[in-house]
Amino acid sequence: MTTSASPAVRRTRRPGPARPRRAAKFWTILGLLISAGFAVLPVLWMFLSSLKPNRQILQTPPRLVTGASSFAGYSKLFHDTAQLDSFRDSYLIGGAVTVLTIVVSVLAGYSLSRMDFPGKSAVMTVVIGVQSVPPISLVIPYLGLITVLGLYDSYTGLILTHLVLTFPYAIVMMTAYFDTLPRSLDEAARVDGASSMRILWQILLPISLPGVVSIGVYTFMLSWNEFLFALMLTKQHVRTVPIRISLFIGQNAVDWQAMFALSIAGSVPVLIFFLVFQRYFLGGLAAGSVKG
Amino acid sequence: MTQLTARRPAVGSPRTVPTRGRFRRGRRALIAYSFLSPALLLMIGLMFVPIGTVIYYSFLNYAIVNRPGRPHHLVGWTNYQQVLSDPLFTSSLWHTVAFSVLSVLCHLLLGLAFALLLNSQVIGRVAKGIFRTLIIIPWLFTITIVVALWRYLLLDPHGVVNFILHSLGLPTQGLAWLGQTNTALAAIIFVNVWAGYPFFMISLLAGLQGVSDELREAAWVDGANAFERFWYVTRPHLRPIIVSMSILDLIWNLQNFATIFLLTGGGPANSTNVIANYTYTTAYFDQDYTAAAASAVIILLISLVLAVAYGWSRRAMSR
Amino acid sequence: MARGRRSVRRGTVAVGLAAVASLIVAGCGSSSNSSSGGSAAGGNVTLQFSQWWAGELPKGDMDSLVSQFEQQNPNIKIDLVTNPYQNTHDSTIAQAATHNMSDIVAMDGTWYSDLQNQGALANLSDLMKSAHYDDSNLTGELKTNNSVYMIPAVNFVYPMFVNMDLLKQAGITSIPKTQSEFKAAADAVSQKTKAKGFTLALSPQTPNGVANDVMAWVWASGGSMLGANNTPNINTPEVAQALEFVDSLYKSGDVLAGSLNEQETQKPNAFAQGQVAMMFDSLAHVTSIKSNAPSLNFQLAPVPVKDGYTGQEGINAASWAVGISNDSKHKAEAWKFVQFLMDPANNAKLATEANGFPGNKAAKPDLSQSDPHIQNAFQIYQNSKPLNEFANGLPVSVQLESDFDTQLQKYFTGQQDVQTTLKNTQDAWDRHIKAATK
Repeated sequence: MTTSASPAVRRTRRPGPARPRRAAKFWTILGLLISAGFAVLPVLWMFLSSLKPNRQILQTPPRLVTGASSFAGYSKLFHDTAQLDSFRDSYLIGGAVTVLTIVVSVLAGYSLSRMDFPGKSAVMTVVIGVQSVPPISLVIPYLGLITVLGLYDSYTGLILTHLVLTFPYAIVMMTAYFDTLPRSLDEAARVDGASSMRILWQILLPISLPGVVSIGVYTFMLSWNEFLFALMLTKQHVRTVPIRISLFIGQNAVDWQAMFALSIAGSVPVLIFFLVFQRYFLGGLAAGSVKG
Repeated sequence: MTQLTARRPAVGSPRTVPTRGRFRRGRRALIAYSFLSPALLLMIGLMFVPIGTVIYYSFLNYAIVNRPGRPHHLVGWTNYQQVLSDPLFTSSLWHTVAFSVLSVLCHLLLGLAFALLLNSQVIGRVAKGIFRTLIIIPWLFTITIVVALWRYLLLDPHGVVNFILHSLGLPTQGLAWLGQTNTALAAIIFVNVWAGYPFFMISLLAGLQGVSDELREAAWVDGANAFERFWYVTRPHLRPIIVSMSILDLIWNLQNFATIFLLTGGGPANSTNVIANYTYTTAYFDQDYTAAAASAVIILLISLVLAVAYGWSRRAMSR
Repeated sequence: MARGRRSVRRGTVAVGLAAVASLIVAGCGSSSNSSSGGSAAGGNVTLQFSQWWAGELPKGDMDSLVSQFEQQNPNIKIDLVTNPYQNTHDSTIAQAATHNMSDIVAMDGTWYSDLQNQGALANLSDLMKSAHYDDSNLTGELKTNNSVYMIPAVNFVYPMFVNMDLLKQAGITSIPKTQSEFKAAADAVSQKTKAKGFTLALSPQTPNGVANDVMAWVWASGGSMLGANNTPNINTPEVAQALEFVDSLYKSGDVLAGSLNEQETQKPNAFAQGQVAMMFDSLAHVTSIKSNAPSLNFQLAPVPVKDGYTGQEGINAASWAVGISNDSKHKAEAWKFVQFLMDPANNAKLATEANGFPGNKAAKPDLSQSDPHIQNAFQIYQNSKPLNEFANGLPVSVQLESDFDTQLQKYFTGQQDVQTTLKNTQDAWDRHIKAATK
């Protein structure tokens, strides 16, 4: 099936006459600026505060930059092995959790979306039900189980725990993404003799790449930011960034500068990764390429 | 792509096995379960015991603490009666519903709005990339920092937010957003929305990639305006994603503990107490782990109702 | 058909192998022992000490104390585990419940019953007897059935901090000593300056503000919330009088906004920024106030008493306490470390560095180099009776504080009167204490 307009026309025409299009552009950019402001301004404040010494962070009236602003907090951070170790821990755990979650959720999503089998609704209920108990009430029995398995204060223990937290979302969303892809694709491939696995990995997966990567991004964020189980399941050998951040909140004083600096420094690599790689999954590369 | 001549189905395709009967259904079930096995094994393996333990605790007289000389025994529904007759629990139920529903609504609306803006065809790719990155920034920070940052911005009567509002001429000097009963709930919903909308946005953006440009253009050719294009072309395509995410977000916000506890601890004067906070204080302050377990099970039941509703809606949508 | 089944199996096996492989790789980077912290190898013992103190002391202090101990005891090594203070209460309880507590555990005095309830603490009296240790000089040991389970190592008093410049600006020339003087000063500051007279930290997350900022008024005038047999009895005229006094401060607009959500660490900040003229705060905050506002002219003074009161004044005190896990495999060695911390010389040093006072009466802190404020506070400490009735070993003391806080928040926002407040508090207390022994 070909498009309704010829290639030449498509290049130069977009829905709508010229003047409203310029208006649309103006309002869109305005909307984006407001959205970006909403998202970024508090973080910008955090960054500016991370440059100030503690006594100036809480000054009123608040000032953007002071005479004492400097990157001293960041250089202190990069010389502190404990904080650098926490980067290592967080990225290691986040990466492992993301890879495993994607693999497992693609498989599970495919079967829940495409196959009909006895117990299917029960499985769906289990998948969602697993995360229906508030984690705070699960902490002690869960910790007991982890201890019995010998996984207390270990990477494996925390990775497995994060997997349990990320699977439900990943499976539900992967199912939803597969649901949006027409079954005609499957059927066409099956007539050609492809097996389920083949259909999944060679046909459906490439098209659903935006969904897969968005699930991957979310999974990484979830693991990166997770606090409760990182606190309870580890003591010494594994210390993730959120725990390190909490260590700056003391009984007698809060080291705001160090806390803000660690948060910003920790998120910069993730941000850069997103900036660079987003066009591979959100840049419209795959948009509309297989319809019809 | 499709063959014009009929040919014998290749070895390995489902056509070589009997096309009806239990055998085929059983085989299909086997394939399905093998795809599901890693996930199910892990989730059931790690969660079955803890969830079962919590349910068990909710029927005990006491748990976790030591009461030498007092044997454990089942007490039936006593813990549930205690929890359900506690006015603090009932009020926290209302707060939880308000908090969750409003948070999910705002997450959805903001996420959808931002996703539509970012998906717009009238801006260039580079600009899109930059804005996309900026708008997901709230996602990058752990709850400890989000709370610390917003407490610092909102709480101090002379803090940044009040300073800006005052400079704009609004009479809000001395307003402690988190410390007054009439503003605290709105303030924590605001912080929760700020920290959580990127989740919706990214998922919707990914879903929008699949909306056919041809369909949209065909709609324009037919005379539909932007809103109608959205409502009749885009929205139906996004529906499975919107429904799934809303249910999940609702369940998550029902259990939201850290955000609220760290921001207000359930105060002031219990105006922001939610069930998860109630569960926590019953366990860790009051050392009454069995009543806490009962309230946790109540949340579990509510969430399961939502999960079952989700399953029905999925089946209805695919009919 | 075989191909389909084979490819499914192949796929699943591949996935399974990948999963196991990544877990093994991750597992190699971890160490999975530490069920109760300590370990021994050929006569050498390693003990784990869980605390948050390292972050409150000058950098490197805790480490040097530990090395000093290791030098004196060559076959014992101490593994220092530093925890975030905000979550130490919860994580210690979770560790106690799952037998993961460290050998030596630092605690706040108010958590005594929470941990004792789980049988998580070792009997220190037995250990002291085996070690022939004379404990007569230890202030405030926490006991159950006449055995000691927790020892306060450092005590922190909560005197009144007064911003002398703000008082002068408001026309007040002397530090208030009685409640009416205090009210006059607070009113003057709130009306004549941009600051407020007083602040309270009544946030529900850590409800110790009820002790620090409210009960302090009662205890200063010799009052008590305990009745016969140390059972809590808060519905008394003397407590009602103190509550009404604080409420009068609220009604006159003397209290800094946001008190119902304020956490303890915000008080020194507000004080250093000149937003409040008077507050009750831990002595330990003197350092941070001076570093945040070096030119601030402030003094420390006892908490004002009821008009006409002449008896001994009580002063609120919190403590850094220490105990030994009942699961520890090396209790005797763990006791050696506790003994080391309580040794007069070490205890004095620890206390001075922390801006607190020693838990060992025989320890004489060397205050000659200290801030005049600390010296002044020590005078106050010695002339008063330090006490915090919530840290006396009451069961579920954090819950009791929380109950009181809830009612106070309703009272100070005008939702109920003082009689209802106290009655509801007492009812809640009775209920929780009864349940704690059910």
